[in-house]
Amino acid sequence: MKILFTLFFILMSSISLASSVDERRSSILKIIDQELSEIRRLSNQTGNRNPDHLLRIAELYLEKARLYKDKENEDYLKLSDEDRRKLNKKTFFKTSDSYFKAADEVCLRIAKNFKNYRNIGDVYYILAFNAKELNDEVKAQKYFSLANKNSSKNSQTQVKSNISLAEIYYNQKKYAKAIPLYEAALKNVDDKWYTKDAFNLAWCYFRVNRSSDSISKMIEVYNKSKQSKYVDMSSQIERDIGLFYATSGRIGEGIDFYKKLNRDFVGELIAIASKLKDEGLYLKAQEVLNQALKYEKNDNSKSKIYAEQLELFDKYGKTGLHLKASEALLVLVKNKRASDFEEKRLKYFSEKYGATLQKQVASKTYKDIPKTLKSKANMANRYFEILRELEPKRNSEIYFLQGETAYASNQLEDAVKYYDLSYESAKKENNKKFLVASLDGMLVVAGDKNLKSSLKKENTVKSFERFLEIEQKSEKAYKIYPRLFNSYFDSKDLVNAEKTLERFAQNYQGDYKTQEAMLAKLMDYERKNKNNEKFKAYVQDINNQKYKVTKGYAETLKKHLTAMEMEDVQNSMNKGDKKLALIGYHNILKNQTATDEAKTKAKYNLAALYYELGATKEMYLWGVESLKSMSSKDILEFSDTFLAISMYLFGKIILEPSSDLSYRLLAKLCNEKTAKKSVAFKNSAYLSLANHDVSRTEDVLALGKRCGISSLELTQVKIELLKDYFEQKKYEQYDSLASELSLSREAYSEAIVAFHNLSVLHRNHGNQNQERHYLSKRDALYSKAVKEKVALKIDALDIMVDKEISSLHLISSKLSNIILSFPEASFNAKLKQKLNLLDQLTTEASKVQKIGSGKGIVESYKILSQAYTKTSVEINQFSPPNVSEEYIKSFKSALANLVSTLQNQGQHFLKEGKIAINNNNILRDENFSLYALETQGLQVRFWHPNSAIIMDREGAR
Amino acid sequence: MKILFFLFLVSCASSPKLEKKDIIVDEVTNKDFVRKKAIPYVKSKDKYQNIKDDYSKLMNDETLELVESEKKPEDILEDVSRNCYSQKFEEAFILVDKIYDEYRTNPTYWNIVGNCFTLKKEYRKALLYYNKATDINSSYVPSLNNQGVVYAKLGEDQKAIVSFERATASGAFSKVPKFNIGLLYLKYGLYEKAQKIFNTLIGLNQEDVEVLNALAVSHLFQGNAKEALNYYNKIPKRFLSYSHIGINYALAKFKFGDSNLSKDILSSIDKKNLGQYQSYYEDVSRFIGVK
Repeated sequence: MKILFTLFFILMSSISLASSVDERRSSILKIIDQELSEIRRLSNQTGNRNPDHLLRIAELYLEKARLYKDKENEDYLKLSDEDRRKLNKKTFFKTSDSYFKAADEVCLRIAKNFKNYRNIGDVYYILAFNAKELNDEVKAQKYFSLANKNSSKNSQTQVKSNISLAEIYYNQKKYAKAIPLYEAALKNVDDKWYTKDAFNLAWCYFRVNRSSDSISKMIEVYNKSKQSKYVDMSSQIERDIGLFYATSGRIGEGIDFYKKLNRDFVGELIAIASKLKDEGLYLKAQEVLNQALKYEKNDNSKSKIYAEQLELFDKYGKTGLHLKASEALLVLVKNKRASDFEEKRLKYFSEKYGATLQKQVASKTYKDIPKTLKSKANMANRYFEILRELEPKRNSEIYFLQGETAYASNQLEDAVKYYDLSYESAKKENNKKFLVASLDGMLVVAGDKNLKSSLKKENTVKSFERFLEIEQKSEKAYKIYPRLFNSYFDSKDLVNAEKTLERFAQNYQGDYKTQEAMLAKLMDYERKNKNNEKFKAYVQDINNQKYKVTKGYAETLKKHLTAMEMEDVQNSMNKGDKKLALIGYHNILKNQTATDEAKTKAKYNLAALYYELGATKEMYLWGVESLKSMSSKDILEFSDTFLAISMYLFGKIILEPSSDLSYRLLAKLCNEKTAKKSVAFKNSAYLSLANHDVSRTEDVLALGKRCGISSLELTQVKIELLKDYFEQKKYEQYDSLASELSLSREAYSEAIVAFHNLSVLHRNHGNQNQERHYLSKRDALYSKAVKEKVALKIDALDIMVDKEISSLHLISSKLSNIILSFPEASFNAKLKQKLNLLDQLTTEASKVQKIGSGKGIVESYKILSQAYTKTSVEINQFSPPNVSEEYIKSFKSALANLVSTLQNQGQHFLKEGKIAINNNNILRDENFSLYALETQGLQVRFWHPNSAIIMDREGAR
Repeated sequence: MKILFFLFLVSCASSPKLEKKDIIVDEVTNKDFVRKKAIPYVKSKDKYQNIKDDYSKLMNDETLELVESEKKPEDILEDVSRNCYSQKFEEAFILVDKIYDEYRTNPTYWNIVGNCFTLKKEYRKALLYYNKATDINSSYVPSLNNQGVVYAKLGEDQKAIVSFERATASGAFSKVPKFNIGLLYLKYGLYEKAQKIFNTLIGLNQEDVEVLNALAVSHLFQGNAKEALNYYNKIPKRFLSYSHIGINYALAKFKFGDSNLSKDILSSIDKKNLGQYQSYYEDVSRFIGVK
């Protein structure tokens, strides 16, 4: 195999002279092909039974594969990205692949057919190499192991296999396995690659914590690297040895090492740590950095370490340490002890971690693990705090984020604090976005039931107010006003509650319902606290359209207001402060918002109070007003008051108002069933009559009739009215009313008198028809009364008796007209006529007397007395003519008894008349005409100038 | 006869109206709401006292109508009455307004107000107040009597006598109703009945001019001029010129045979205010031969 390698090297050096790579490659390939052709021929000649030929063929295939692979790689790299993506790699690399396969096939044939082949180790080496080329590490490891096992001890193939296998283990991080392979290989090798492989061995030591070996090997390699014989690994060693020193605690040696190189050890350590980090050696990296921090005194350098720590902890998810490093770095940044890069990294990580942690906090993952949740939230906020320190211009945003985080972790108080800070910052920054966002956040927190009540109150109000400063009218604002209002209201800050209502009302004029709800609370409060003035002010505001409420509510308020005022007044009354009550009721009436019902009550109560005061004008006026306003039902209940006022006015001789009040009372009680109507009617009617107010009396009567006042009571008033009509010469009404009264038994007398008066009036005017008409009516009514046995009054009887008296006078006249004369037969006939007339007169007089009229009695007795007396005188004085004295004597004697009887009868009637006058207390001027029958000359008369004497007092006994 | 003279005057005073000064609420005090306590009616005190009058000596405890003398009223009700009899109705009603609260349950108050209206010739009003008095006390004699007075003034004597009789029935010791009944009897010639009443009254006081006059008239009615003159002679001369006294006094003198004196008496009567007596005066003048 040495030959082969030699040839190969010759070939390689010869082609190096070629003018270009392609040409060289082509040249080499030609040479390989020539050799391959020759070896195949030889192999074929031997029936391929010589494994040396086959091994060579495999080596040549392998060489060809490498050359083609180089060419294919170059071509591949020349392709555009797009072309690379499009091409089929298998196809593109098929040439090289075909030679690799060919080499593999030949080697496998050897391995199969020539198991005891002395160079079988080389065959396995080729298979391992090919597998390595094809990245088939498992196969490569297998064949390198076989190559190692089947090659001569310390042979080149074994050494190379060991190293290759060590490398595979190294790459597989199987350092412990790699170490003996490297150690074994390196004992027998001192070529230029020694330093490289030893370097790997040093790392393997390091990886298995053989720090001392690793440092020693590194120093050895470092020293050998100074020799040109070896590949120079010094730069890698300078890079890595710091790690070894650092992790083994041999920092001093490390510093010495780098000092000699005039290099910054910390920088190296950082680089080392970075490397460790990249390699996944977190702990090592952490240790390196810790050590670096321990020894570093310079802040600027420290900041670098911290920055690296950030990277490290970030990579390994060590959040707590990361935060600690961040906070440490922040101090340096703030002290201007860090570079821009470090500051940027700190910003980056703070932002990243803040956001990440916040996201975790907000997720459901830690919902049921409060301790973790809180811890993560706090860390997030510490990151945000760092970020805020670094970017003060983002204060509002970062505070907001902190608020969100705190809220998500149920740290409500912190949330409030951060949202508050966010708001204040946003205000300074004029950042509307976070102004609103912070308020939103605050509102949410404020609404959280778990927030401490004191904070809740304070912050709810604050946040609502802030929000409304920004948005006076929006969907959200609409919801906030009532909540703000309630917050103020609940804390009894009524001034601000009202201001909130005002603002709401300005912005949502059409929302009656909400305004109403707010007002209701305020007004209920004021009402309960007896703050009537304030309550009224609200009602006034409503009336002035400052606040809009539904009609129904407005009415309710009015009722409330009034009820309140009424209550106040009633309280005054109950306390005996009637003056205050008086003022109160007046105020209710002045109050435009008072309900009609309240005003009505006020009017009534004013009437009652003024009644108590004895203020006639006021009690009347308010009595009238309350009657106008009150319902009939209420008036019925309180009718005694009105009657009392009416009576009071009457008592004080204020008659028209007294009458008027009763009239109004009657009108109001008209449809009620109550005896009070009758009282009111009589009060009003008789006072009107007393004032001779015909018109008013008519009104009262009409009203009384409509209101069901009894016909008897109506009639009694009509009777009096009838008199007024006559006195006032209202004859039409007189006639009409008389006709009306003629239908009432109780008024037959007055109707008769009226018809009589009307007949007289017509007679006086020469209207005989009308006279007769009324006489006819009078007589008809009288007949009716007699028939109905109605007891008529003296006036009527006196009128009706006139007719009968006239009849008596007629008889009397007839009697007087019969002149006695002779002859005897004639005398007897005439006497008989006279006596018959006297009988008739007596009979008729008796009838007249039975009528019951004093006048009729006196007149009838007078007529009878006169007739009898006169007849007796006529008879007595008659002396038959042309007859003898004796005849005359005999004639007179025959008539003497008759004369005496008639005379006595005349005296008897006179006496009876006088007795009747006395017995019946007949007080008529006709008495004197009766008396005149016996009194000669002047009749004594007496009239007291005052008619009768008024009696003021009961007098002494 | 001052009082009688006044009755012929036409009243011009009206009843109170509401044109009073408005109540100033601020000036009201809670004490103002307390009504003055009603003064209870005491019958024994319902009388005039200490009235000394030459004309009316019998009935001046019951009425001022016949009293000519003036004196300071002993109580406010007397003050009201005196004002009304003097036709000073306005003053009277001012007093009425003041005393109403105290006297509202007192029939005397209502009666006196009624009297004022009677004196004002507002009879319906008067009756309303009398009715109120009798509502309070159905047997209150003055108002029962005064209802009769109103009827008498309205010419309804038949109704008047019923009232007087009711008054008399209620107040057996009351003099005015009896006197009023007697006056009606005299007016209508029921002399015997009248005389009986006046005899009773004169028994109570023999110097009362009205009773003396009434008795004189009663006797004169019956043709007993001598007895009539007995009574006339007891009447102080200054009252004989009153028409309702002097005319019949003159007639009595004439009938008694003292023609000249009768003429003198008749001529001394004030002819300007004869009123109802106008034609009777003329008849008497003719009768006794006065030209």
